[in-house]
Amino acid sequence: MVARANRASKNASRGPAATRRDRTKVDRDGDLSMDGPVKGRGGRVGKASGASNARKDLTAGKAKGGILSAASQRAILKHAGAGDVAMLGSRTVPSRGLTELKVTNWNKSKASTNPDGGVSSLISWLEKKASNRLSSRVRTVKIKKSQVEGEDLIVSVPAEDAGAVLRLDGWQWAGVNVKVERIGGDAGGLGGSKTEQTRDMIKGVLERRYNIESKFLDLSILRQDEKLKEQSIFNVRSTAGKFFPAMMRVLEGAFETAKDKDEAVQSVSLANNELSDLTAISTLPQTLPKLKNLDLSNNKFEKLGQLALWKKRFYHLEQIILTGNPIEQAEPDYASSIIQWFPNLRTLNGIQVRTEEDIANRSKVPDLPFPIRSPAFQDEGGIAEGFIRNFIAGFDTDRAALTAMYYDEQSDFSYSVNTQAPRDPSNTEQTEKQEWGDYIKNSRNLKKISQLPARQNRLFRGPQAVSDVFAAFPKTKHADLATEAKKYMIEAHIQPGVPDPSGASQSGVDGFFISIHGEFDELDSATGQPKKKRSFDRTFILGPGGPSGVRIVNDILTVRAYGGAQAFDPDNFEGANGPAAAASAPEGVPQLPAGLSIEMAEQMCLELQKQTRMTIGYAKECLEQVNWDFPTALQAFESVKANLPPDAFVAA
Amino acid sequence: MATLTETDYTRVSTDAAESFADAFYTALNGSRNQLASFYVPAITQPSGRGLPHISYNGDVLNDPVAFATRFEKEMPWTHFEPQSLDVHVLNRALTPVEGKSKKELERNMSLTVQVSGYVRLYERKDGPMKGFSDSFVLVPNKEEVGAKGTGKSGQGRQWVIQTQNLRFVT
Repeated sequence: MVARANRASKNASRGPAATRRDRTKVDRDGDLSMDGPVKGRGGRVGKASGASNARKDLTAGKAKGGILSAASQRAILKHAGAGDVAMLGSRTVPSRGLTELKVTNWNKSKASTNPDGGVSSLISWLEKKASNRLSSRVRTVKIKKSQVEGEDLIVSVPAEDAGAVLRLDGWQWAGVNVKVERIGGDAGGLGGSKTEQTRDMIKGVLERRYNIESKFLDLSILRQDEKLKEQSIFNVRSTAGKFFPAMMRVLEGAFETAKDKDEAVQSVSLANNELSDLTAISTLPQTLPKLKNLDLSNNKFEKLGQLALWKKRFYHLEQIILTGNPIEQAEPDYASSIIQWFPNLRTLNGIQVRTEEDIANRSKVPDLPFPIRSPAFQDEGGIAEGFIRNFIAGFDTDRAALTAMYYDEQSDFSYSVNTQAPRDPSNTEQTEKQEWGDYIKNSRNLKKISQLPARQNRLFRGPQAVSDVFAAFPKTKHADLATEAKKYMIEAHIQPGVPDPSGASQSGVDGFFISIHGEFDELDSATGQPKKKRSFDRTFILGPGGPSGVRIVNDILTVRAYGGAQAFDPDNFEGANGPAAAASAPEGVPQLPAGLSIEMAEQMCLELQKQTRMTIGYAKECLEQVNWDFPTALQAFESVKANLPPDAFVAA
Repeated sequence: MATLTETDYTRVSTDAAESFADAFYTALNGSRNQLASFYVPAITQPSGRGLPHISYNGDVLNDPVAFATRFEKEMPWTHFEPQSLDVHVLNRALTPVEGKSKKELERNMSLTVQVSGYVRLYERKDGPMKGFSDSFVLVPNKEEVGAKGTGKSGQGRQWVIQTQNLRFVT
C-alpha cells in the first residue's frame, strides 16, 4: 500500500506552486503542514511528492481495510478527551480556566481570499493539529472563543491544551508559517530547562509529522524541516548524529506503554534523507519494534551490507520500499535477501512477495529431525493403561481412596509450579491472571527452592503425607480420557531397575515409566463449577506391589498455565508424514496411530480376544503388526493361528 | 555400616538434578558434540529391550550416538530454557549396600528427574517457541567410577541418562 514512491506524480511537472494549489483544494482539512517539509526545495519535487503520496496511500488503505472509517475515528476522538498527557515529562499544566493565545502571520495565506479571510479554516486547522498528538490518551482540542484583532487572531483554549496549540508555532499552514504565542508574550511560554525546550521542540517536529488516523510518522526530508533548520541541527556533525536517537527517545517518552506506542505508530517514512547507511537511525527498531510499513525510498543505500543492521529486526514488518536507492542497480538481487530478513514481509516496493497463506504455513514449526509423532506407548497386559484410567478418575473423585490404592510408605510425591510456562498458542486474547496462590506453598521447583530443608519439606513420602497434600489441592476435573483423548499425550515405557518390595531381586525389577501431559479444570470449592484451566505434566514410576498389583514409586507433577492441546496432534505439524518421518520409523516400539485413543485400542483388543480366543497380549501384538486395522488383524490371525503356541490362547 | 539419611537422599538427588540439567541443556544448545556422553552406553538387556530408552516427540531410539548425531547434524538452532525442575530418588540401592562407604552409597541410586521449560527454535527472539516437558531416569556413570577424573567436578559425568521422555507441550 505504501507507495510507488519512485513514480513522480503528475503534478511534479507543473512545479511546486501548482502542486501546492492543487493540494489546497483537495485536502479536506486544509492541512498543508506535512507538505512543507515533504515537498522540499531545489528541484526535488518529483521524489518529494512520492513521499507525500505514501502518506495518502496509507490513509486510503486504512479506510478500505480498517474497521473504522476516518469519520467515525474522528467522532471517537472527539469523545475520548481525557487530560493532557501529551508529554509525560511535563504534566504540570494548570487544569482550569481558559488561556488566551495570539496567532499571527496568517493573513497572507492562500486561504486569505476566503470570505472570512481564512479564519475558520485556520481555526479548524489549529484544532486538528493540536489534537494530532503522540500520546497514550487521545484528546481533542477545542478552541472555545476566537476573535480577530487587526492582524492578530486571539483564541481561547482550555489551559491544559495551551501547550499543544503553542507547539504549532512556526508550522506551515496554507503556504505561510503561522506564529502562535501566549498573550503577554513570554516567548511561547514553554520555559523550562534547555533539555525540556529541546524535548518540546522535537516533540513538536514529531507531532507535526504524525498523522493520527493513518498511524503514520513521516520523517522524510528531515534536512529540509524548517524547525530543524532553525535549530541548526544538521549543520553540526555532533548534533546531527544525536538527533535521531533523541527523537526516538522523545517518541518513546510520549506514551505510557509500549503497546500504546506500537499501536499509534505503524508506518514510518524515512524517504529522501540522503541516508547511505543505518548508523544515524539505528535505534528505530528498538523504538518501534512492531513497525508494519517502512519507506526508505530515495536514499543512498548502495549495498545490502548497509542495511544489514536491521536484518531480522522488525519481525512484524509487512512492507518496505527501497526504490530510488543505488542498490537497485548495484545489487539487483537484493530483494531475495530483504524478503528473507523480514519473515512477515508481504510487499516489497509495492510488489507482493508473500501471500497470507505463505505466512500462515510458515508459522507452523516446519520439519524437525524429531517430528511430532503419535504417542509411544509401551505397555504389558494393560497394566500401565489400567493404572492411568484409575488414577485420572480417582484424582478427581476420591483422592483418599487413590492414595490408599497406589501409595505406600516408600512412595514419593512432589509437585512444581512452572509459573512462566508458555501458554496456549492459539489463544491470542489478553492473558488471564494465573493465581498460583493455592499451589505455591508446596511447590518444589528446584530452580526456585534452593535451601535443603525446604526441598526436604516439599517432598511428600508415604500415604499420609501424600494424602494431606492432595487434600490441600484445589478440586479438579481432568479432561475425560475416553471422549477427550486428544487433550492428552500419554506415553509409557518399561523401566528397569525399579525397587522390588519382595526383595527377591537386589538390582530391581522391571516397572513402568509413564508420562502424562494433559489438562484439568480447577473447580470452585463452593459451587463445583469450573474456575480455571491448567495444563500439567505428570511423571510416574510404577513398580510391583500394593493391593492393585502396582504401586507408585515416584509421582512428579508440574502444574503450568493452560497450554492447549495442539502440540499433541501430529497433524498440526508439517513433516509428520514427510520423508524424514518415513526414514526414521521407530523400531519395535508399538505406537497407536493418530486418532486412535487408548480407549478404542483397548476395545479392539478385547474384541479380537473374544473372536480369536487369543490372550490380550497376543491380540494386542497382532493389532500392532497390522497397524490397528481390525479386519486385517482377523485375516492375519487366520493365516498364522496354526503356528501359534498354546500359551497364545486363553485357557478354555 | 554407613547409611544415608533422608536429608542425604534429598541433597544428593537435588544436587545431581541441578548439575545434570545445567550441563545437559547447555550441551543441547551449544555443544552438541558432547551429547552422546550424557547417556549410558547402548546395551541390549536380557529382555531384548535396548537401553538407553530415548523417546523424543514420539521417536524412540536406543542408540545415544545415533540420537546425538541426528541432533547435532539435523536439529536447527535451539535454545532450551528449563523453567522448573524436580527430582525423586527412584531406587535407593541399585546394588547390595553391605560394606559400602557413605560416598559409595551416594552413588548407588537412580533418580527420576522432571523438567518443564520452553525451547526457542531456529533463531533467537523471533523463532517459534514451544513449551517442553522432559523426564529422565538418571543412573550413576559406571565408567567414571574409579576411572578417569573421579571426584573432580567437570571431569566426566557423574550421572547419565538411562531413559528419557521428551514432548513439546504447547
